Formats: sequence, structure tokens, C-alpha cells
Amino acid sequence: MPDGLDVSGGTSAVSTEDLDCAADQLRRLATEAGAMSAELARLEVPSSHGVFYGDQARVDIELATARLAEIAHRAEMLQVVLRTAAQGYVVSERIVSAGVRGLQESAAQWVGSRVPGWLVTSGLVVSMAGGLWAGIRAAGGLGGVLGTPFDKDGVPRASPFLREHNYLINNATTVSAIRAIAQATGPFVLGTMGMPAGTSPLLGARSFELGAKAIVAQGRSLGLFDETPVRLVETRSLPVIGPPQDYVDRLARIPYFEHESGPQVMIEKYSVSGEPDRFSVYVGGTVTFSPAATTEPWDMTSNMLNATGAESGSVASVRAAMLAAGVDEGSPVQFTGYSQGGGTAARLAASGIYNTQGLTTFGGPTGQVPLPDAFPVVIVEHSDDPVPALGGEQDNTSAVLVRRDVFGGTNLPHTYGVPSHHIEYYLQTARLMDESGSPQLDATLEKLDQFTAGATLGSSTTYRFERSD
Amino acid sequence: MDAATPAALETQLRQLTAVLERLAHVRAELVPAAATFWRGQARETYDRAVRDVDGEIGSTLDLVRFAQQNTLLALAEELRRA
Repeated sequence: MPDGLDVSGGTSAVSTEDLDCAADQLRRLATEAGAMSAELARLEVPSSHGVFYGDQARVDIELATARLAEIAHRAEMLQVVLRTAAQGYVVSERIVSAGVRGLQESAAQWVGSRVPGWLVTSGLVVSMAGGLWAGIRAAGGLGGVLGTPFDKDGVPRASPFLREHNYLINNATTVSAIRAIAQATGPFVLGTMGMPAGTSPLLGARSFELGAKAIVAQGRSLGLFDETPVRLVETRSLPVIGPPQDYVDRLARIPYFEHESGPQVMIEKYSVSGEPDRFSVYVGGTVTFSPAATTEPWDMTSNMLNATGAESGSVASVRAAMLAAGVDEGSPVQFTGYSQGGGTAARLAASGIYNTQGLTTFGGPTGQVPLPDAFPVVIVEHSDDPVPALGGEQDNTSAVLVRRDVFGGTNLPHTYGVPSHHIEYYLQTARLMDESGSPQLDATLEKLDQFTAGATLGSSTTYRFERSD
Repeated sequence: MDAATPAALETQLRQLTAVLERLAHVRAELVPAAATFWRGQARETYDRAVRDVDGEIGSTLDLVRFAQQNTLLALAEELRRA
């Protein structure tokens, strides 16, 4: 795949279909080449009687006959190898993946079982984290080393130190470690609870949610991660354009504000003659990283609640926006989200509450959100972006997964603390997706586009929410 | 000159033309596109093997074209001699 995109997944049925198609082509190619070789071999080449060109034609025909036989043989071998290797690849990938995951989770559970229960249940660990957070804020940011990483509302501000050394967290190795730690939190908690070894893999995504719930529970003893009701404070109509044309267009429609609050949700309403109205829901990313709830629902509390599977402020807000837009249980809906918006959109799509017809996420923590394979899903993650890694291992194998190592750990711009997560680079990736010619991406885009085929865009409305308590 | 030779060369020419068209069609329709279903070494190896087959077909097409041209020239020479 050109330009560093790694496109994988789609349902296994689609992959098998592609494999079968290639193998079938090769089998037919072998048959055709064999037939043509036989045809040339049967050719009764007349005696040249010393005519140079006649002799030359005879040599060319003999060579072509041999070449065609060779092509037939190679194509036949290749199709056999293709089918055999494909089956082996799928089987071995699953075995290795399950084995490595099982070992990691068992190890985490074992470590957890050795940690004194009182240490975890006393909230000491989270107290330390909370104290660190409060200290950073009170001191204006670790005595000027980290600078002031957050403003008064918790909106992230990368310090010069962090920007200068952003390669430390914007690299695939660190991100893999973050993903493994996030995935291991659940088994660790199960270990501290005295659950027998081997129980973690049996719980699947529930194990991950359990880890997040433990962190939330401990945080709440310190006044952190307290969920609140939300209220709609502003709606605004946007000029009507038309359905999105490509992946870039989809991402560009997501509400995004640099260093300030704004609408977090945008909903497009489409009408189709004789059918119920359909809606495209675009959900923005985290606005504040404050673990203590402020007025902003797109915060760490919502991030953590999304990880637990419970209804977060951001999920409740999008649900309220959808209700205000006229979405009901039967309305066809397509979700697109960036960052926390990706996780929020995935939660809503997975909830089964809505008639979901498609989901596209960019940089969202979606790995442990169990998405059904009933609708097209495209998940875009930068390999050097730590935010998707916070969602644990990506287990949605039926989704089309696009990964890209944006910087390869070198030559990072110092404009941002986490450039690999910045929307600018996800837009770049979306452009590469549009230009890639990947059959999986093109086919999935076609399915996503069918949602608005023949539909008329009636309205585009943004929604801004605040926490009410 | 054997009177049957020009007729045999004409038959040969027709068959070579038919093979040429058929092989060009096979190349366009039956050589698989680059793999999107695998990653890493497996994909590279498979893609290389497919490219090799495509290259083989390309050089075979050249051979058949040469055979076709030489047959045509041989036919012209036979007719000239006659």
C-alpha cells in the first residue's frame, strides 16, 4: 500500500472473497495458458525451404509454446499456494494473537493477585494520580519543566518541554506499550480481586471495562470522574452543502475547535422520497482533559465512562442531539467521530438502540467497543498516536482498519505535544485513503455513500452541550 | 516451392493472431491485482510472484508478435518466389 497506509480487515468473508477471486483468476489463467500452449504445439509449421523468416517464426513459436506451458504451471502453483497459505495465515494469526494476548492478560492478572487488596481499595494509587494532577495545576506545571499543560478549564496546552520531546510519546513503541497497559488494566484488577487465573480472557471486552470501572470507582472517592446530567445550550444551522464525497470530506465535517469550546455535534438530516428521514451524526473530540467535571461534557470523565461502557456525558449529549434532530429508533443513522468522538460514536453504534448504517472513526479509542458486523465500519488509527491505544487492543476484526505511522518516531513537528493525534494529520491520512486505490477502502466508501444516494440534504445543525451540575 | 506452404503460413498467421488476442485478454482480465488481504512478507512474496507471471506473459506476447511478423515476412517471401 503506497504512502505508508496499512489497510486490513473488513469482514473475513470479504477477505476470503478477495482471496478466492484471486485464486480463481489464477486457475483460469493456468487453464488458458495451458490451452494456448497446446494450440501452438499443434501448429503445423511449414518447412521454411531456406527462408530466414520462416525459420525465425518456428523458433519464436517453440519458445512461446514453452513459455505458455511455464506460465500455466506457475499460475497453477500460485493459486494452490494462495489458497493453502491463506488458510494457514488466518489460522496462525488467530492462534498467535490469542496466545500472546492470553499470556499478557495472565501475567497482568498474576501481578494483580500479588498486590495487596488494601492498596487498591484504599484508593491510594488514584489518590497519588489525583494529587499529582492537583499539584501540576496548583504549581502551574511542575516548576516550569512541563510548563502549564492545561489552562484553567483543563484544555490541554503542550509545554515547550513536551513539544520539544514529543517523540517520547509519539512513536509506535510507546504507543504499543500504552495499548498493552490499557489492555492489562482489567486483568490486573481481576487479580487484585482474587479471581482465579485465566478468567480474564473469558470476559473479553468486559475485562477492559472492568479495569476502567475500577479506576472510575477509585477516582470518585476523590471527587474525580463524577458524571453529571448534560443540557443543550446552543443549536445553530449551517449552510446546506450536500452529502460527503470522500473520507476527507467526512472528517472535515466533524466539529473541531483549536483551544476553545464550541459545538461538539453536527447532524445532517436527509430526506428520501417514501422513506423515513436519515441522519449523519458527526461527533467531535475531547475538549478538556480535566478529570474533575467542569461544564464541558467532552472531558476525561466522559472518556473514562466511555471506557466502562456506561453512559457518559458525551454519549448522553449526542443522544440528546439526535433526539432534538428527530432521530428515532427506526431512523437510519450513520456515525462519524474523531478522537473521543470516535469512541462516543462507536458506543452509540454498538448500543443497538439506533438503526446504524455505518461508522467511521479517526483516532478514537474503539478497540474494546464490540461493534457488530451488520454495517460498514472504517477505523483509522495512527500507529504513533497514543489516544486510540488507550482503548486497548483493536478487536473489531470485521471493521476495515487503517493504520499509519505518521512520523516513524523522527522529524516530528514541535507545534503540538501530540502531533500524531492532531486532526491535521488525520486529514492527511484521510487524503491518502481517498487516493490509495485500496479495494477495501473504495468498496467500504461506496457502501457508506449508498446511505445518502438519491437523498436530499435538508439541514445541517450543530449542537453544543454543557454539564448542568 | 511446395504449393501448400503459403496456405500453411496463412493458417499459422491466423492462429498466431488469435493466440495474441487471447493472451492479451488473459493478461488484462486474469492477472490478479496486488494483494490487499495480507500484510508484510507474505504479501510482498505473493505480489512479486504475480508480477513475475505478468512479466512472463508480457515477454510471451512479444514472442508471439515476433512469430506473427516473421510468419508474415515468410509468407511474403514465399509469394515473391512464386
